[in-house]
Amino acid sequence: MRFVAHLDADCYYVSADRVRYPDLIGKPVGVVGNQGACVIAKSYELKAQGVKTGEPVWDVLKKCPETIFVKRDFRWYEVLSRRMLAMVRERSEAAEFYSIDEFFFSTDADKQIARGIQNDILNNIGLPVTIGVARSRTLAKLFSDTAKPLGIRVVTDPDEEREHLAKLPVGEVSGIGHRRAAKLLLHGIRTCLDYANAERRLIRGLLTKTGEDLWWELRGQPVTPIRPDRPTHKFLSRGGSIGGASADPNVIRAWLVRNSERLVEELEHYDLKAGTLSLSLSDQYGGGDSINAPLPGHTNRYGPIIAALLRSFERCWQPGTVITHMHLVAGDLKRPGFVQRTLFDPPDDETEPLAVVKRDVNERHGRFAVRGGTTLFIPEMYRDRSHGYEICDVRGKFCF
Amino acid sequence: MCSAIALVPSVFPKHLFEEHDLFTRVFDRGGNNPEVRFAFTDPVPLLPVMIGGVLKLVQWGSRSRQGPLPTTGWTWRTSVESGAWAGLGCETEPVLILATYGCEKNTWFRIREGIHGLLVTPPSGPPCAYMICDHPTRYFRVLTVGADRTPWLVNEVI
Ligand SMILES: [Mg+2]
Repeated sequence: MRFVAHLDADCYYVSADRVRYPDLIGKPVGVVGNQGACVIAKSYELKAQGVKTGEPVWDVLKKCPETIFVKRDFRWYEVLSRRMLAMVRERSEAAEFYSIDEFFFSTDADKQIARGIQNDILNNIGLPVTIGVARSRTLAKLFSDTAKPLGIRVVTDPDEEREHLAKLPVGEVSGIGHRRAAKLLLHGIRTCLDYANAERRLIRGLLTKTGEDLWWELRGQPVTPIRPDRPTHKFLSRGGSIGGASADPNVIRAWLVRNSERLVEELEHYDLKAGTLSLSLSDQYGGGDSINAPLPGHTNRYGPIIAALLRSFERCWQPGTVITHMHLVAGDLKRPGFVQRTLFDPPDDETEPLAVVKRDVNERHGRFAVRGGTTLFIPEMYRDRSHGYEICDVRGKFCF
Repeated sequence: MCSAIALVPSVFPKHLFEEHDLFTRVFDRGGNNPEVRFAFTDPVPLLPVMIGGVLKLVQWGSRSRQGPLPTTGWTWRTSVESGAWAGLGCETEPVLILATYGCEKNTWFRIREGIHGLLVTPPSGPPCAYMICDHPTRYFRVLTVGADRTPWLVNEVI
């Protein structure tokens, strides 16, 4: 029988910073949010001093003057998040990218797979994670919360389930906030078990369909499946103004390269391969052309993508035509595992190591540190490092 | 500004530990690594700087009213870049101040690589190092509750 596992990294931002700054291990650490005012993550050492997430720095200092503060770095947290996801996907056929540090995946009742994933992530990345395994995702998430840090809790027996649920306040269920919990309390529903034992109709009346879904899930009946191939995007596109108007083919090609690199980044981020690609160029009179750039198969590699775009560009651009805007649109997006390979797929092994090196160097030294040489025709776009990673580049899976 | 820094002890060769009695500066905040702290208010204020690829401990700024040196531990980046130090008749050299943590207004923060410093050697007397400061970002000002300067960090802005 298949069960649902919920993986949650333990004090994720702090742990992620400890991966690159091991000196922080065992010390009181607070990760500071966007404005520099509040801690958005705390180490267990800080928690032990009574510090809460969201507390202002000056209040944290009253409780723990020795706190070391670290400025948040979402780029880095995202990098490690994707490495974790890859490790989960190596051992489970279905894994869902739920939030930056939480995944759901399908597993069996024995601890082997969960233990394997936990060890892989700890030994290869250096991040401690906790995993809960249960009959539904709501249960799995509840149980992982009770097993932190570095725990594994498998609860698949209904009697054992009820024992645990009896100990958990209903507010612990994600999706039931303070207000809903207060509503439930009026009907004597305090614990998760009270909730599971309540009349279905009462719950439906109080908390509508969302509440009923949770009710089924708490009773071990999965309502929401694991969504490994969450349909996030039909298309991904990159482009916009080319920084003024130009009829210089070198400048236009440089923008093609820049936008292709951004598109590849986007594809890699969402772990998608494009089956179709189109290029639109607009001239200064608002006219323009959009043409298909045929790809040799599904890909998220820079090589075939830029080759296809350059071919299309040479076909559709008339020398002398002034271009002001450019858009690249990737469609027919698929997860690598879901791509049907054909006999005629080009071998991507040759470009793979290059792509990995490029990505690694850029992760370490900043976006576009390694980039296509053609971009030398638009140096102004790369002069200021702060253009490298903007807040909008952190694709939102979470909020705080 | 940055009134104190701390480093993991492992960066110091044994002889520096003994020469400068660094044991008295060791502080344990928990975890596997204690740290060695340097504050401007120490009886003997020192800064760990890289000179010609070698880690040395030199005097942090100056407290002496005699001699050409300004009696402070910090200098503005704009002063350095505008050549204000050239008029003092001292030899100057940019140096890297090694630091794992920095402290300003009792707030400790993690530093990635280190802080830009200026090594100043008067005609007579030992060299000393000044920490180079910049205008703080809003982020740093909020974090430190109103610091009016930020250490000029290497490859990093807080
Ligand atoms: Mg977490």
